[in-house]
Amino acid sequence: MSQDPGSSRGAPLGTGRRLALLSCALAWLLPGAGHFFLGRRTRGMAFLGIVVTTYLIGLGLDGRAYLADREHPLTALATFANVGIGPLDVLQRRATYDRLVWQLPADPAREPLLAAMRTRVRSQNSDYGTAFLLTAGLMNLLLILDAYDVAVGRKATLEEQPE
Amino acid sequence: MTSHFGLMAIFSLLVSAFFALLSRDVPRESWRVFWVMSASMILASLLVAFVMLPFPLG
Repeated sequence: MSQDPGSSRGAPLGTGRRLALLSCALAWLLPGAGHFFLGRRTRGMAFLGIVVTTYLIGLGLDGRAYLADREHPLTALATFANVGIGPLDVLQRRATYDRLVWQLPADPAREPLLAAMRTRVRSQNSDYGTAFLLTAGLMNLLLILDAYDVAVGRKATLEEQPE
Repeated sequence: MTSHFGLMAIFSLLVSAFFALLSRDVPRESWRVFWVMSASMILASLLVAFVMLPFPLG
């Protein structure tokens, strides 16, 4: 596999920091869009299918979105994983809390959110759904990093290694 | 779906497909990674489940 940053003949728009950031932004907005933009179209569509399928199964299984809680610092990491899916994150927050919220507020405003979360968790498949939702977000975070690597030439382009 | 095994298998297949596409550029190698990884995940899960069998559920 090529490690030469200058060997990006297959990238349709050239390389550079701007291109890399643009592909990362696209990858966050829609899973696989970064790869699609960089010329890896089949791969991008496949990533879109895999990540969105994982996400939708998670929603269907009553998975819950995490909220960052100051009393439990690790919840910030889980929330970050949820946000990794991009704008689709809105759907899981509406499904769990019926509103757009990312941080657990102080008392007494936290009670309605905790009650909504408990209702969701009571569902038989909620734990599985939550795992699917977190995995979808983490997959998309990896796609963002991979799109960056492709854009700056750290990974071989399709012309160098046929898809 | 309420089948634990079914959900675990679906999860394994999706994750395996993702990493197969992410880590390999040649389709033949991607398929190989996909099958090895999905089989490993499913078999490892069954093995762990078997080891946990003596533990109480409650």
